[in-house]
Amino acid sequence: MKKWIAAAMLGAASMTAFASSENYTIDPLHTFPNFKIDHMGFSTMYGRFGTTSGKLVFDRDTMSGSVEISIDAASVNTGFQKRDDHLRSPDFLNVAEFPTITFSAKDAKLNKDGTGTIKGQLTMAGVTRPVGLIVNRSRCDMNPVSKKFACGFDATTRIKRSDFGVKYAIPGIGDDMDLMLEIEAARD
Amino acid sequence: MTLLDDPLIQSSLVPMTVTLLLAVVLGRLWPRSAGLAVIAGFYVAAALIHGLTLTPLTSTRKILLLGLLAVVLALAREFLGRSSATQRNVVIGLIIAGLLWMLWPALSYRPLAEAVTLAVGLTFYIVWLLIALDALADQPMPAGIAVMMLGSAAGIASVLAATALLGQLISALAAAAGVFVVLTLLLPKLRAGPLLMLPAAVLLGLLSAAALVYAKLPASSLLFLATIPALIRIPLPANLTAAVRAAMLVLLLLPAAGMAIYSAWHSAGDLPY
Repeated sequence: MKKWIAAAMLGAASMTAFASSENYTIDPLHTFPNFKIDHMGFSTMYGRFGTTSGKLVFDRDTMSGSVEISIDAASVNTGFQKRDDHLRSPDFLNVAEFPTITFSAKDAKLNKDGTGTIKGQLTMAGVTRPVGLIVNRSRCDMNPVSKKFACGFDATTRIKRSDFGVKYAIPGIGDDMDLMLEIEAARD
Repeated sequence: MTLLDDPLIQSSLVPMTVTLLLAVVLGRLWPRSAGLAVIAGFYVAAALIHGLTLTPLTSTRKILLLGLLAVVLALAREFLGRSSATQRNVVIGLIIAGLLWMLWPALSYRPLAEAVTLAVGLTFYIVWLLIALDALADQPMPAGIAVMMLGSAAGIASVLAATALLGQLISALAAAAGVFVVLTLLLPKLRAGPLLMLPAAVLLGLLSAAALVYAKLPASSLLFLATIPALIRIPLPANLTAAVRAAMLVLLLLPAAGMAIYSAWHSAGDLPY
């Protein structure tokens, strides 16, 4: 009998958890993956991707969920058209063949304070590798302007671009590439 | 960074050295196949430039595979003797299928009219190179010069068109062909043959097509490049020595090569970064 009660309680608990999972859609106007990379040891080059879309499922009670982010690789922008054309070419992102960069994590879990590491899969230039996305801060609240409930995340990671087969001009242009993701998502 | 990581070494010294050594060996053992030394030099360079992995199967890797297919077809032709029109059409059909396979990721999301225009235009370019370069197969020195000049111009133009990878690969073929040209002056019995001309036409055609579709090589560059195999057939006085003949052929092709490069430079703009 005790087992049945325990099972029922567990079931109820999981249903409560399921019920508090909420779906969010990424706000493309406030979601920008930025990157920085060493340029010959002289300086650090910054750039960003202008077009990002995706979905989140997030349970604020358990601070867990899943994430699917899709970045338009051709939207890369370093502020200089000729360099951006080169970044889109087969030397780097090869956007004609691999138009999207994606990050997905199925069992994302954050700490109670909204920080933590999300382990997921990053796909770039047709190669998928596991990466840990470090969430430095996050916040879920009512957006006073849009009047929609929203969550925001500030996350970073460091990858080696050579792991993704993007090897052009290493080491002149750094192999290590820092990705900084600023994400906002509105509840559906 | 080791010496072999240097892009300049990879696309010049490496293919030249491999071609030189292999051409000398083949020149003694099997002179008919000496042209294969150029392709071997190219593939050693390609292994250094782009690696040996096949995944993900990018357009560049597809081109390298199609070049190897061309080597197999050329070997078959060498062993079977003179090829019939049917055999030639089958080879051209296979290469066109290869071109569409290579271009498919870029064509699939373009408007139909644009995709068809690109596919048809590039098919004409590849078929023209296949026919025009094949016609030079029994003239080793002009054959080598045609490949060298096509490769030099397309290589530099591709680098200007924002693809160092394709530019480096094409330049490696040009460097290897340059050594072959010098060797034909020293060892007249060397032969270019289909073992050089078929893979060279496939590689030059597909790499240039990829530079147009996947980077920013302007179509006008390809038009100027296409004149090179025709211009090299302009007859020269018969009493010239081989070295003078070679120098005159290079001079004859320089304007077309220069215009192909200028078109890419003009299209890209002159701002370095």
